[in-house]
Amino acid sequence: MSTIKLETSDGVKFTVKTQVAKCSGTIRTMLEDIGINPQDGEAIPLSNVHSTILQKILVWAEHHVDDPEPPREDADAAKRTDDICSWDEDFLKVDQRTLFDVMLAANYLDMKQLIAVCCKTVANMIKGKTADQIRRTFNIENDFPPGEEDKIRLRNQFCEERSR
Amino acid sequence: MEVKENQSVPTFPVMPSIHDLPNEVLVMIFRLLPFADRLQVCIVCKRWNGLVFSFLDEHIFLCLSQEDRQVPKGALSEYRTYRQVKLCGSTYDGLEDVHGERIEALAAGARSLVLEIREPQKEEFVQLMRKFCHLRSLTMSCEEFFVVDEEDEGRGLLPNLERLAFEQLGDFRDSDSPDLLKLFMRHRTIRHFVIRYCDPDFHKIVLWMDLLEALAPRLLSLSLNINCFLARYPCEMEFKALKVLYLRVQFSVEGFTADELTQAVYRMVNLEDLTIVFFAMVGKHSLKLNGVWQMTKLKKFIANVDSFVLPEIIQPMPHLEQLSIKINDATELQKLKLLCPNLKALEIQSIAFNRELWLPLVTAWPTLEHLNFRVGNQFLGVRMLKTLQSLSNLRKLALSGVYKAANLSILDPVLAIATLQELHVKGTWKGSVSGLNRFCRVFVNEKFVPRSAA
Repeated sequence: MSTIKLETSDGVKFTVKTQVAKCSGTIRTMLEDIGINPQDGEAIPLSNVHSTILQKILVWAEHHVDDPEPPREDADAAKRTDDICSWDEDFLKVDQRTLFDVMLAANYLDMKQLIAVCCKTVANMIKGKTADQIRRTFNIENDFPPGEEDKIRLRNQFCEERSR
Repeated sequence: MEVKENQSVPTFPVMPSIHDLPNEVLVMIFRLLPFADRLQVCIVCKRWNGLVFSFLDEHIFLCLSQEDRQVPKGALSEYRTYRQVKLCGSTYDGLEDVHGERIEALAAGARSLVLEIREPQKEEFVQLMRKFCHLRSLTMSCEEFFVVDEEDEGRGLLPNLERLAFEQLGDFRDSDSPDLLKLFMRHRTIRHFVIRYCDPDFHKIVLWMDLLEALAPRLLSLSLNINCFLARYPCEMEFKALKVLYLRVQFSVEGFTADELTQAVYRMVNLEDLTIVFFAMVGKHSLKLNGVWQMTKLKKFIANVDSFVLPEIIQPMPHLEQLSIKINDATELQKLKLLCPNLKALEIQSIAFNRELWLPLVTAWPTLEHLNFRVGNQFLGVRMLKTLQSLSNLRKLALSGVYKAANLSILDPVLAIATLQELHVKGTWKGSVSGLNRFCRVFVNEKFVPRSAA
């Protein structure tokens, strides 16, 4: 079974099954289009990913390596957030710092399925909360000038949901 | 499986927060939220506000009314771009007086405009359309219409228009109105056309059907709500590309039969989504709609007709996923199962389900995602509702009967379905919805019922 080497931002080298590494669109492109030859023993540099996060992501990729291509989802189905499989749910039971690190790395590595499941997890953290509760959950600063938030609240009254 | 080499001392990454996520990832998250949550998201901080209003505009409408001066001062779009705008008033001038500055600021960013102006004047209409130059969709609801009398005046207007809709057509007897039609007839980009409602006198203006004929070959979707005087015209037209058809026809006059129209529908070989609403049928013979069951690309079919029978010979339609029809008895339910083995959404418009019909229905399509049907008042109860749990993919359930003095707590067995996202009931209900499945939104008489804090 062929393997390739990946080198993280902090200089740690990982030897990974090629098939697992190809869960990443970025790595796939490097191998297939740009023609980086893994046989050379050269490690592919992943300058934006830290070793602790890559390790975690490789666990995910290993578990999902045989997943079938997801069907093209209709707009309706795409809105679901309750369909996270229990393995992923456990996998993403991590602190926010790790969660966002995984998302940033997954985005850099172009791993659509992993990003999708992370987004659902974050959406579930937002659902049903008030703006203030959301700010507290994610430690976000309210950067509206004083009174502006109320104005926006008022403006929102002029917004309606478009029925389809 | 991975093997570490070169164990260097790992330096820990800088602590990331949700703010480090790039815009496209944040938008992906916001896209998963219902409208009410999005409105909360947009008051969290400036960046989120901007993102919601520039990327997730498909559900957000800004409504400016001539009567309502209570809009906050200043431009409406400090952090936002509104893609969908609705303007209501009696005249353009009146609207300009109240909201002129705001319209100026919004117009170029808008992609969809709904105009509810009682008496639009031609110059103002053209001027306004020049401001809203990037519109993809224009919806008009106007009682009278006077527009463009010189053809050149409207040339080059709305170059990107894809959807044209007339919500209400009133008094168009003015001789100027055909010129408006010429303006749109020249459009090569319109793919979606809607006539939502027309005045009973509207049939006199056959010129509107000329506009439809000019647009017909390129249309992807068409929604027509007309009477049978006009219905004979589309029968002669070619709709080669049409994928979505909504057809509501009032058969108030004798001399035109539904057959002519249904034959025309069967010729639309690319249809994927068909809705037929025929009412006030003269003669009252049952509509067979046999040709519909031969349409090989149809995914969604809604038939709302006075009387309707299923075909005698059943040829399965495995591609049909959504169906809404009336059935008369249990034998038809059996037929339906053979006819449409792969349904994902089903609405039974007619009979009230009793004990005998209930089980065959809930077991026929175990993978059903949407279900809408009527249960007799006396049969509604915990035990019956519990059987719905066998529908393990159910996402939306609507019980369309009107129930009296039922307690919301009997809905618990339904809420126990983990996939359920929407539950609709009607009538007078008491009590409160339990805390089960908090992702499911419950509606009583189409009004959202918030869950109790517990």
